Amino acid sequence: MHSILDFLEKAVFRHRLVMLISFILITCFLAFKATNIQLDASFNKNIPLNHDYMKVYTKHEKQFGGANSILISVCDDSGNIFNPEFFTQLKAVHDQLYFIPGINRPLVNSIFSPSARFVEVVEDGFAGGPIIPANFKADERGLAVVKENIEKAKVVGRMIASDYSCAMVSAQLLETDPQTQEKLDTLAFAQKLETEIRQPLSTETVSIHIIGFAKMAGDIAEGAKGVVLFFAIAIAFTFIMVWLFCGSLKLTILPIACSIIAVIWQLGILSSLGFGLDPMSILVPFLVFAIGVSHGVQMINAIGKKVLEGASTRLCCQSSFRSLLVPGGIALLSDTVGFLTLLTIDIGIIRELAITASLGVAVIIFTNLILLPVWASYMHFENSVKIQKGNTNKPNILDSIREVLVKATDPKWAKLIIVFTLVLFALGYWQADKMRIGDLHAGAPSLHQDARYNQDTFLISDKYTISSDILKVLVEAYPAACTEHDVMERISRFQYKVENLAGVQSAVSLSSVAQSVNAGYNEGNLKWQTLPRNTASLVQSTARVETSTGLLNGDCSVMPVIIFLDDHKAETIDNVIASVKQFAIEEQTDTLQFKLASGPVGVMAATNESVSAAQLPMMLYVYGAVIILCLISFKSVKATIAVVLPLYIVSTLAQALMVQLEIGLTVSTLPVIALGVGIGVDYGIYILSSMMGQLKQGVALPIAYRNALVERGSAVLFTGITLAIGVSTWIFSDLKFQVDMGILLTFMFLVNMLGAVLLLPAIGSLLWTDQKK
Amino acid sequence: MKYLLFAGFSSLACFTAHSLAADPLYAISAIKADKTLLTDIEFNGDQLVAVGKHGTVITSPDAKNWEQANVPTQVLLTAVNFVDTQNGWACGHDATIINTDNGGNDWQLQYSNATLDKPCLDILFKDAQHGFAVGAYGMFYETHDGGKQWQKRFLDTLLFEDDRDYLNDLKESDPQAYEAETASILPHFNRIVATNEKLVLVGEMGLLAHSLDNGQTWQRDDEIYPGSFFAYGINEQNEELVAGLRGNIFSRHGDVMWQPIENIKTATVNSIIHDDKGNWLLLANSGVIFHYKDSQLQVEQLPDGKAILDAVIFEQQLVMASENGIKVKRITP
Repeated sequence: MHSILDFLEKAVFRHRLVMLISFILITCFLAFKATNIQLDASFNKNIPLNHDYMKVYTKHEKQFGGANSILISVCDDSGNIFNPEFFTQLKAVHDQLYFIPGINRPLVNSIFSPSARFVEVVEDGFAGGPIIPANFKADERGLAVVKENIEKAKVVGRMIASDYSCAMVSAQLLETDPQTQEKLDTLAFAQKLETEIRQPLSTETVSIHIIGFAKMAGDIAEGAKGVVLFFAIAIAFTFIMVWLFCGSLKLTILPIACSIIAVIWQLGILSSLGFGLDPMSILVPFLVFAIGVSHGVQMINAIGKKVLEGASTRLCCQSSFRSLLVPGGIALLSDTVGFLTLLTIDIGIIRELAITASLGVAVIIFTNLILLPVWASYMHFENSVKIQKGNTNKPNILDSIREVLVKATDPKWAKLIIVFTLVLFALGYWQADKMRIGDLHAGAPSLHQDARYNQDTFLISDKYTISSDILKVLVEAYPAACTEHDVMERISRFQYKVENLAGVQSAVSLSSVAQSVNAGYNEGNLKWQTLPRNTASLVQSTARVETSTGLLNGDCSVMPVIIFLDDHKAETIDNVIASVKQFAIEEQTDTLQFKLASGPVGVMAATNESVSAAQLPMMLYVYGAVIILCLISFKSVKATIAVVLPLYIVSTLAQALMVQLEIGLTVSTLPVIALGVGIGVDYGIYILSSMMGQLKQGVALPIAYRNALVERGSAVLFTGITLAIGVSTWIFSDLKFQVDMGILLTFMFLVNMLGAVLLLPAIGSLLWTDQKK
Repeated sequence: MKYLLFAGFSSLACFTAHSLAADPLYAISAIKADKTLLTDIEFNGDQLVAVGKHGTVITSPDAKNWEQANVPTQVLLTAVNFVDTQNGWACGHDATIINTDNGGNDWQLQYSNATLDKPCLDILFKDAQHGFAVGAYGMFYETHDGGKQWQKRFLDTLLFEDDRDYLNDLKESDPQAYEAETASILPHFNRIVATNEKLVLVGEMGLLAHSLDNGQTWQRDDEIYPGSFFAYGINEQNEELVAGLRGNIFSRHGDVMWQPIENIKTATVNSIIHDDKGNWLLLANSGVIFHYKDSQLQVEQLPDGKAILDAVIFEQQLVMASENGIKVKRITP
């Protein structure tokens, strides 16, 4: 170990000018690259493509459409859509949407689409036509005819609001453009929804409400731009605090600048690798900055103290580099490895985050553990450093805090702390156990409840009997299966059971439509709304249903049951999916399988299941990485326990906090648990690495701990508090997601710090019993 | 399936309660049973009973809280009829007939024949013993023992003259073809109603018929409309109403001719009821209720546009069986 350190120290500092210049060059290059980085959101990224449900989804996506849909509700303020202005605007929305690139044109659906037809029963059979007649004029007569057609076509609740105050235009998005083969730019699409539909086509009386994944991603990206301001505030605040802490502008610039360089490198490398930044992982650069500051402050703290002892700047930097490279490196490496373990989760967006975060943490090793001391060695601090001065002149708060903290190694206090922690942990564990997977609220949980998007969601689920929360169960059978009574009867029974679940609004399938058609063939008498027994009549009933309805494929060997849910809360999805699986088993035969799942809720269910399945392995990998690296560097099981145990307790408490804040475990919040470990591990490793050298030489624990506090404690306390305050400003963010993350991170910064300075020594006093005195 | 065929007359077979599947499927217990398609509703003096989709039978003493009954079938039930607070019958597809002797809470299967492929569309009991079940293609079953045995009848007097002659020829030349023809030559019988003096049967192709001898013989009335009739009603003032497809309504008072009632709304009428003052309510498709009083027809449109199959007037409320379940509406006097 020592020889490696010697080698590194010599290698770095002998060529420090070359090092510095190459750092500058690399930074310039990556800064140029970083300017190209783009916000990037894609639907497929959020999907666990290898999950069983998603295999069903992709298998049938071409025939039955995907889950990436957009709903536009056009509403008239008067509460009645039957006026000329409304119909002009509705038609304009339909036409405009049709031409936005990325729209699957044949699936644009509204009363203006050619497939919107009505059928009515007359004395001598059927009569029918388009809902909007070819010669439609938006006058009193024309509107009366349309109103009647709408009633006959039974589209109220789907294409028309139940109270006739709104009309719906819906469409599906194509992940890749079939002509250009280009990937859909979700955010640009969302932009177009605003600039080409909402803004130009809203009038004083006609309002437009848009929901769907693309719109949500767009709104989040829009809100995420505001994040930059919060980053700036947090960075400025940190800068001032560091300045106050060390009293030297030069020393202040070092950790802040190096941490910013780390962010630049991270973004530059990401951009070079062809990645964008997802709106949901926009917080990661800030975390990199925060972790960078934490290490940078340790470094300037060490340098400052050495300078005061009177050594030359270069020697100070060299020895600080030497003493901090191992603990800092271990902490950062375990972060990196920890984040890399997220790669095992088979969801695009989490993998992307794993790369973004691990890359960011890894570059801190270069910027804050190597560049910083090298850069510092060119500076002169003699007059400006006052890190220790205050302490020597007047016994200040830091000293008294230190004495309080040292008491944690006193067996009496240690036991008290441990008992208190155990009680907290028990409470936390009990709470954390209630952690729900998936979204806990209706609408988009990343946005505030009063955000436009969520208001639009509530309006649409209020006005229509259908929602965008659709679950599709694909019934796989054999060619011409829909001509058999038993098959259709099983689907019908399955659908009826599903319809009767709490959380299900309604459902539709070829079977239910065939029953309606059968009633239609019998003069519209609903006493015939059932499946005819004889094949000829059954064929007659299903033959009228086109494949464009999405209810069957060409030879009706696949027939989806489309289920409309009240919302997509974790609880709703869990209950419905569990029951649906049960019903599938009850109704399936060897040749008739009810396969889960497609539709947005099918995707969510798969994601929830993947997240749930990933939770434990992820924790094992993250902790595994930390444990192994601690074992290697400390060569002590006791030390490893003293570092990992507080970490585990804090992340359990953080999960309890998530439950309290009603944050569900989702694709976007799952990584936070891993990140929390990454944030917390620094403090413990710095404190303990300082203690370990002394403990090995037989120094008593309280003394070793006091020395460690003198050496690194103030930096730990300082970074914990500073970063916590910096992130706490996020509660004012426009993004609900950022507010939640702000609270969580504040908690993690603070409590991990407390864990390192209180719980770690208390545990230590139990582990190193022979070294108490 | 095992059928036991009892000896009968030439055009009259009789079936017993044993002509059933050994292990019937029970109606699925459903939390939204009162939100599913309901086809008929009746007040038995104790509680409201409505029947419908997937063998659903629901009961309620107050039109608010509904409970699902135990029903040994999953077919779409189409009609229900009680003779007193306890004894009732319901029928539906696959010619299924079920009965209850505890006011509608538990039901037994009396008859069912899936191979027949004919739905029963209405059921009527004159008293606890004598009842009729009518349905598609002239399905006409009669019982004299409360449904223990049902006799199938073929009402050839309701045939058009040409058809009758054709059948008579066939009966002699080709008995097999005759059997096949009788299975589908008659129109659908959509409703059977008992008035003080007679039984009335209405159905497809303008069928309007009556029986003055408790159903033994039937006479077809003169055709007044070629489409289907679904509903018939008579009030205390002896005003009769018959209605059907696309809002075609006819009225008659005493022995005069049926008069069409002018109506621009084309919704098909499913049921006709009246209040104690003789004001008519005609329940129709597309959420339409026609109000008819003193030769004046008024149209009421319910907002959701769902078909109303039947209704009863219960404690100043109109309790409706509709396409999407029970609907309750206060009646403003």
